Amino acid sequence: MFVVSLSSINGGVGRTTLVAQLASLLARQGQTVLALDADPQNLLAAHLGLVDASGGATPGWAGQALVFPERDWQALGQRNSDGVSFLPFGALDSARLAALESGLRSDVRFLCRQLAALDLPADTLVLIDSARLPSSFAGQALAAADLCLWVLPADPASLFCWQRDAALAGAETRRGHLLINRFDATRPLQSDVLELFRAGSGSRLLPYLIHRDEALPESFAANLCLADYAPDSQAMHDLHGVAQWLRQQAASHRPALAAAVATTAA
Amino acid sequence: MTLFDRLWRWLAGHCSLIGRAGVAACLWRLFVLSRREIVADASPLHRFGDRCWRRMRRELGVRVGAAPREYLLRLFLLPSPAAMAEQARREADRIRRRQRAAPPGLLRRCGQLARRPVVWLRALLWPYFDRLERRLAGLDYPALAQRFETRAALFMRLHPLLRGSLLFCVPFLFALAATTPLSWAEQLVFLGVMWLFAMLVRRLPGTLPTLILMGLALVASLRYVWWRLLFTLDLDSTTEVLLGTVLLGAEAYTWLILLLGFVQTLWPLGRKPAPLPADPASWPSVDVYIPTYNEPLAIVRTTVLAALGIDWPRDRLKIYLLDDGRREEFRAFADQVGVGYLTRPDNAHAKAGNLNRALSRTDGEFIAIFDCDHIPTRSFLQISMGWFLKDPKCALMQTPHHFFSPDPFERNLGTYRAVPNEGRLFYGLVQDGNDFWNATFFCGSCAVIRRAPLLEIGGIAVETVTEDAHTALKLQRRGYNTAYLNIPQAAGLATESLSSHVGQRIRWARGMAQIFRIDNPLLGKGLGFFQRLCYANAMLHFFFGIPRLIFLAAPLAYLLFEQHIINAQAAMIALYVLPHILHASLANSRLQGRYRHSFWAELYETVLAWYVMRPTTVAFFQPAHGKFNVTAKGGLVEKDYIDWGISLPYLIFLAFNVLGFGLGVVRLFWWNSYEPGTVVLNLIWCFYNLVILGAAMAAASEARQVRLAHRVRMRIAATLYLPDGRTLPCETEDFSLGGLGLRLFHGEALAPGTRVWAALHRGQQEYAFAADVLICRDDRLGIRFLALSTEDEARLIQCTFARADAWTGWDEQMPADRPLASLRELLLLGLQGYRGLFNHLLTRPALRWLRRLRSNPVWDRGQG
Repeated sequence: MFVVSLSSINGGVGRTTLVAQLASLLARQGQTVLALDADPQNLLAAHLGLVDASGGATPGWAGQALVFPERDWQALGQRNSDGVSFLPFGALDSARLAALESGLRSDVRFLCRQLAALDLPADTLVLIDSARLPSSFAGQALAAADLCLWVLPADPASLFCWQRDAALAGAETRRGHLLINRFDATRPLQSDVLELFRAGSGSRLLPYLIHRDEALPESFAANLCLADYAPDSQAMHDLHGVAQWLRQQAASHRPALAAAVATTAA
Repeated sequence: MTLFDRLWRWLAGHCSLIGRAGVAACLWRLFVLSRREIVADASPLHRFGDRCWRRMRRELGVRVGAAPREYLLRLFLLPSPAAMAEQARREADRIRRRQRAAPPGLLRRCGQLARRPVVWLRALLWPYFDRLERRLAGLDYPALAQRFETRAALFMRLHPLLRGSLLFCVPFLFALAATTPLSWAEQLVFLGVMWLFAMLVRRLPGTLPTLILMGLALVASLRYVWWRLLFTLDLDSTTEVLLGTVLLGAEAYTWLILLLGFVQTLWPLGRKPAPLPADPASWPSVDVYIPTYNEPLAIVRTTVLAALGIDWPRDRLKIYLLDDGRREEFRAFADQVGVGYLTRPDNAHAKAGNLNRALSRTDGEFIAIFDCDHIPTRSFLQISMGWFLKDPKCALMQTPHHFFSPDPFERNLGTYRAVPNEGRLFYGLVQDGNDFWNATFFCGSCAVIRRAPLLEIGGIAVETVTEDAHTALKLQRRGYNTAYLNIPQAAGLATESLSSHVGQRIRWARGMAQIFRIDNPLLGKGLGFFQRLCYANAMLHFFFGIPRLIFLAAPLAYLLFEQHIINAQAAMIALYVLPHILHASLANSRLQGRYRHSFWAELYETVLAWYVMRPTTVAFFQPAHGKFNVTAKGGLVEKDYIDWGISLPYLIFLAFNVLGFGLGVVRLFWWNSYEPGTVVLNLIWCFYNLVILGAAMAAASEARQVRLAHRVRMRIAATLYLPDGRTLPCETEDFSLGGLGLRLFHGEALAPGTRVWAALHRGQQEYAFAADVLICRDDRLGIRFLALSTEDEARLIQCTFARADAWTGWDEQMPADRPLASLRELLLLGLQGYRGLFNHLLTRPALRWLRRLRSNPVWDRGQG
């Protein structure tokens, strides 16, 4: 199991879209994938094609965690036609959300435990759509993650927040990487900001970035994954790069894990 | 009275004509009429004319008062009686010697040959040949070569004394192999064995087999030289001796060049770039010089903008535009982009003077020089500077001149990127071979020179018109090293027309001949033996003009005038000259195949021969004569045309060769049917000349060239931003500073005029350029940039011409050399040349004439 959290410092940067599209793409490539929604907005399910006519009555892990914190999440899993298994967050009113949040704040490794209890196949890639910082859900996701992708648009506000909060978010650790989203080379300012990101955190920056591409919102509107809607779009091209990079990371992570297990056993 | 009138009166007086006679009468008197009646009061002119006349009649065996037709016939067609008698006597001797009847005609001979049992035997043996062939094809050649090399390495472990004495024997062995007299049958067997051995060795990879092939070529050639000198010079008449000696001289020149070429390219060094120290603070300072004289700003600005993007510490890289044209717009441009602008009051010594003047006004430790149309890549200095730090005696680093537009040969013959161009041999092999002997020379551009040694020799040499090679020679005489890196790190436009190409080569040839005269590398101090040879070869190489023309004319001596300029039987000539040509071709194909296809040198040299002949000869005898001419670049050829000016000498050669070939056929069947071998040999030679001349004509047929900005074929990853917000990945098919050709991964329907953005990727970066769609056909898209700001233009150059990897691997898809295929290719090009000639001479005028007839209103009425 290799856990990747996609996190953000600002809201509305397209993180959930990326999680859904990456999960679909990886699943299509034959990778066992679990997408987990750790954002109270509860949008990932919709991105993965779960159209809920009953108005948010689909059960999610949040509701269950509030009532039966020790029960495992096997029964909550969903699976879409692309072969992506996912765990929706579930609809939660604000009072219960606050209660859950305070509960989780005292138990930082709750998500970790629950993931372990799922007993997933060894080669599973878990993608967590983590709420924006600061939040206890994001803290849970970061604690559980082997690798953390910070999704950032190439705009000055995001650069400012990153420079201010990166240390706070613990993003400078070995596990943190930057993924620039919605990049538009026709805007000189974006190119300049990208240069500043590159100068500030060179190797932390992924070798791929996701271009601004209307095909992404269009595919959501059409309730299709991008690979079906616009297989030749630039965003799809970029996602292929990121997916490949993630698989490489997962592959290089596994021997390290195996070695760690071996040393503890000895 | 005008001068003409006076001249005319004088001539008429000498011809015993009275008053103002017509031209015809004068000519008649001069050349045709028997002049017995005017001899009495003959003037000196008459007497001289008469003497010539009588001599000519005697030689041709024409009666006094014969018709002009008789003279022409005798002159060009029929052999003279003396020659015929001589021929008959020689033939009789031969027959007596051989004790057998005169051989039958060629056709009958061929018929006999076909019926011979040999053919049947060969057919019977074919399965065995086939099996042998397959056995050979199945061998593991790399492993064989490996084993071979390890065996050869044993030699290095011998005692030095033994090794030395073995090496000492090598020349004697060569001499022995070359000078052992063999009968024709033995020579045939020798030829066969050598050929089989060569065909086997040829399949082995590695340098050692190349050396063996060179050795075989040397043996074959030496044998030929020995035989040629000892057995073929026994010529009969004075004319034959004269012509024979001329031919021998031309051959001697090719032998010398072959030998020197082998030495020069014995072991191409293949130098790799040396890494720079990790700390950029320790990198030296560099001045980049971009000299210009009359080139348009559009060309120069590309180079300047690319130079601004060279990766080097900003405080240690200064760029200077050296404008010998003193143009205000250049100064403004230099100020705008922030590069130095240097001019001088005069233009003394052209480019060399321009550089020297700048040398005294800047202070960088190193000077990088780019012709104003050579666009450097960003990595130029990082790749080329390493060796200067590694070797403090290194004074010059040269990199290849790469051209991203087809040169006139490639364009007119349609061989762009299919056949290595003319410059490839020099930059791919010769300079790399020179580098092994520490004899790389400066080529005027795309090079870095260390300032201190350059100042020590007094700056760039100004004595000759090829200042570059001379500068390197002077540096080497002072004991400095020069180096060559065969990695294209700059690229430019090739000359746009054959005439300007020829003009450039004339300058090189003249300059090299000048250096050979005034600062001969074989003499003087400071050079090693092999350095001398390399430089001498570089210079002697340009003297190919006269020998090449001699070879073009040589078969005519026999075909037109029946002069035997080689005294040997055709079969013997074939037995000796064929192995010489065959093995030299095999060795050269192995050595040069990647950089020049077999037989292409013939074409390249033939086109230049006439033009190079005069300047080299003049410069050789009067080195001070001659001036610098600038090569024009970046022009247009608006419509197809044949460059008659360039091709005139070849048309004349061509006409004579056609005539010779026709006569040769007549000789074969009627006049000289007693020596078919000689006729056939000369016919083959003549035919080969015709092929090469035809190809030269094809090269002189200028093909249309309409684009101002050259489109360069290159695949670069790109992103297309559409106005509806979608973004598409794509790659470029070609680029120019005006627009891009893109290939999408999926068909799109974009209306012409749609505003899009195309972003080109460079490493992790991408730069977007606004553009309009010109044409969109399924997945192919042509876009034209909107007006680019200087900043955008610089970015565009950075993303295209100046990419570090822009020109690497450029010639990797170049097809390998196959000598026979190459010969066939030249044959087809020859045909193309004749077709073009025919088209321009006959078809087009005829069509024009027809059109004019048709557009004639009278004609129309007549039709109505």
